[in-house]
Amino acid sequence: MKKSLFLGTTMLLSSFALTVAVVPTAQADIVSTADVVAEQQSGWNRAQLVEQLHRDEVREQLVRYGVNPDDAIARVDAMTDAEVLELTAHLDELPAGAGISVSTTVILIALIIWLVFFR
Amino acid sequence: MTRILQFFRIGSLLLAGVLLSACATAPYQYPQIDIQSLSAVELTATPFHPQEEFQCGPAALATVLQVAGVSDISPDDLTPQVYIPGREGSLQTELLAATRRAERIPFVIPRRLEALFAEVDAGYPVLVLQNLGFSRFPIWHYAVVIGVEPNEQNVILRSGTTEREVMSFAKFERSWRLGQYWGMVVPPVGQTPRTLTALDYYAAVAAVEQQGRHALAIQGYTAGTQRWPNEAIGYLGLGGLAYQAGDFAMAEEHFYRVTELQPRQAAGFFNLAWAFQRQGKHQEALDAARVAAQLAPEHPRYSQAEVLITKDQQN
Repeated sequence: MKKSLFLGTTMLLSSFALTVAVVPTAQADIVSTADVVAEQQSGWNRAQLVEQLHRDEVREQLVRYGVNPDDAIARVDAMTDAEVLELTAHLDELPAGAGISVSTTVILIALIIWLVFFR
Repeated sequence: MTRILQFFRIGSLLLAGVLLSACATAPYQYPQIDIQSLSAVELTATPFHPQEEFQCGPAALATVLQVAGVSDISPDDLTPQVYIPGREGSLQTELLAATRRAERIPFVIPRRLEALFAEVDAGYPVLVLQNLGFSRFPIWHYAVVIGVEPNEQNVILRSGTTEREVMSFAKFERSWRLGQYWGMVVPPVGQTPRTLTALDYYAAVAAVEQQGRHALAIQGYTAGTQRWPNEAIGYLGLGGLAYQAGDFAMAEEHFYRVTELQPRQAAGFFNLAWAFQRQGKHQEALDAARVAAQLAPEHPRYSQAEVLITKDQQN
């Protein structure tokens, strides 16, 4: 219990520290068009507090999958918050369009042969 | 307590089951298509980039970007922006992101064949995600739809190493359906895709604005207001950008337009209040803030409009 309280507080505090870093451009007075659109689309409020943590997570995952670390920074920067949130949870499962490679063709042919002759 | 939780868990499982089976049994769209309403079209000028192994993402993206006027971009330029070595492929999200980096706005089209055909008919080749395998053994692939032959019931694509691949409606829809009917278009700057709703269009423009690509966002909002002159969000966007550029008089003009078009939405009044405030029109600012708060008394931000403005005046 105590531990989770501590963890929660740390996360909250660090997220405040990060928020300042995240929104340097927009002035904090008017509401952004992106927020208005998001609200009208789904009632979804931008989860600004966790955003930076999620961006770091996606970047690390990309690097783990072999993307150059410098490229990964620019790639995550070009994503919207909603896109980042989607990738944090599912980067390993989402379809990665590739095209038919030799290996998959071989596997497919093997599968068909197996289905036709060995069943 | 645990009982209630369990109940919810079972309920959500059942719901998921219903939803999943609904997906699996959704009928094919192509038999319902009114062939008479389609005209034969083939965007023959669309460039072709025969892909190297695994590189269909960068190749397909380069194809649509070049059509959108990014003439000097090549698949090799895009590989470090979208390719994931560990997955031997590219994610849809990253194709959208890389489009923004090329100073163009990507739009995901509605998940319908008619929408796909309408965009091609409007002159925009559509980058589609296909699954050429099975739902259990997927072979994910990106290709670009460049034409429709309604009488023959064929779709024409730039695909992989095939410059002009012809697929029947049935075969194409099978592969596209397994790709959840995902497709994106990249119109040249200042043009709007044909099939998106105003709200979805502006969501895509706002995404570009969020990333600080303001010039591109202004062009997007402007094109939107020409297409949908009575839709408020475009003016909200233009006002927001004017405000961020410090042109508060211009911002006031746009936000005022928003309140005229949407007199019952708080967002316009809230931003209008700030545009007044920044010009030293304190009374007008308070009046607009009061309306915003009255329109959305429950909203965490708009309900505080008066308080925020007053606080700002005291500083």
